[in-house]
Parts: sequence; structure tokens; C-alpha cells
Amino acid sequence: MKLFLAVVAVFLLGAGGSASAREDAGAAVTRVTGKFLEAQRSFDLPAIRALTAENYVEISPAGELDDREKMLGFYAPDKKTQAPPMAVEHELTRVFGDVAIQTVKLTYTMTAGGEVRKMSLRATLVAQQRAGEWKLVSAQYTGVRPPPARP
Amino acid sequence: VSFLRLLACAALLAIAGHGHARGAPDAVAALTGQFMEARQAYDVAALEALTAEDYVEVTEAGELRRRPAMLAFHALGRREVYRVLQVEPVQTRMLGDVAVQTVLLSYKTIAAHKDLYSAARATLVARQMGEQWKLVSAHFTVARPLRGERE
Repeated sequence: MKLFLAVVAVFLLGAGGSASAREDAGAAVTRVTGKFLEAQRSFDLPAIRALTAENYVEISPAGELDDREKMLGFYAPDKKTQAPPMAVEHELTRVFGDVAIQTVKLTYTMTAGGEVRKMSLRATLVAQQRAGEWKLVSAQYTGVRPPPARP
Repeated sequence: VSFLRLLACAALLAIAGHGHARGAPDAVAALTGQFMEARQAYDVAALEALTAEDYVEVTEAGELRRRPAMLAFHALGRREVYRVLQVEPVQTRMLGDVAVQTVLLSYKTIAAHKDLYSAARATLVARQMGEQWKLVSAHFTVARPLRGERE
């Protein structure tokens, strides 16, 4: 009986620990992707560099494939522009050991001629944990087609 | 002799492991090729076999689609006129039992009087499950025209 109880306790501890570890990893990935997206929006080059792995690759909303060096070039201080406010919705996070895939929806709010317009992008971000640290290895962005206007 | 045997076993295991690792990018390339072919052919059974249950995709329209919605879409059959001309794997990165592949897709749209050429880039993420690789994520973005219109 004692052995049975011990087995059940170990099983429960293991299951609890594993679920907790997954939750922790998911939260850690969300923190990193949130920082990364804000760093891109605010042209924070050192932060972008710190949050991406050397083998980082990105596909822009225009479908261009850029390696890390090229991507970092876009965020040089002399290229900084005022980005519109951005809302980030972390839609789905999946953790496969030391690799995580997250889908996010980015919504930008722009004002032109007194009119407020919203534009959304959807991104898939892939992060890898190395030496206890999550870093982005891949990002791809696609513009969200607005729903057809009502007649 | 025992030490030599042990050493020989370790060497054989290392060689086998190295061979396995070398074969993984080929297995991933074969999987992504079959997947794109199955999409093109609206082959739902193949799409089901090649994707993991938690598969998620972001379409060219920026729509987030889970596996049941992706399968249901393809079960409706062909409604688009395009066909894939070429699938070109650009880069495959192995992150343990997860692989991230970037592909360039070239489309030819058959129109009434002229053929139109366009391209898209995709990031495909595959995961090794037992002996098999299965897709867990796909993200598509239309690329700026490669060759423009052709008469």
C-alpha cells in the first residue's frame, strides 16, 4: 500500500512538475516575443540583437527572406521612424522541449486626415532555448486581409 | 578486450547517430515536398497523414487555421485556378527533433488570355514523432512578383 501511494505521489508530482514547466516555458517565450516585437517597433537595435539567435531568419510582410544581419540593418539608428501604436495578441504558444512556436496578431492604429484606421499582421515566431535563454530563430509576417465590405 | 569492444560499440553508435542526423534534413525536405504536393492535389488523406494533430497554419490572407479547418478547406476541392510550378527549399535548420524549413513557391495562374506568375515564401516547421517527421506549423506570405506578368 505504501509503495502504491508512493508511486501515485511520484506520478502526481511528475505530472504537476511537467505541466508547470510547460507553463513556465510558455510564459518565458511570451516575454521574449513581447520584448522582441516592441524592440522592432521602437528600433531598439541592441535589444533586437540580444533577443535573436545568430541563425535568425525572417520573412517580411512583402515576402522577402532576410538573414539576421540584413534584418538588423533595417533597425539602424539612422533609419528610425515613428511607429504607430501596436497591440499584440499572443494567440497560440506551443512548446516542444527547447523549441517553441508562437502565433501572434499585431494590430497597428494609424490616424490620417482625422480618420483612425487599423491594420493587422499575423506572425509566426519560433524560439529556441540555449543555455537557459530563449532566443528567436525565425519570424514570418503576413498582412491580414480585411473582411469584405458590406454592400 | 572488453574496453576495445566497448570502444567499438561506442564508435558504431556514434556513426549510426551521425548518419541519422545527416538523413534528417532529407526526410524533412521529402515531407515538405509531399505536403505541398498534397495541398496542390487537394489530397485530404495525405494532408492528414503528413500533419500532426496540433498543426496550425497562417494562410496567404493572414488567416489562422487549425488542422480541422485546413482539412475541411481542402476537402471542398479545387476552387482556385493557380497551380504550384516549383517548390524550392531555401534553407533547413535542425533544432534537435524540430526542423525549420524556408521554401520559395512559384505559382502560375492560368487566366483567360495570359498566364500570370507569382511567388510566395513559407516557413514550415516539422517535428520528429517516433520515426516519422510531421508538420506542426506552416506560414505563407505572398512575395513581390518575381517575373511579373507574361503574355
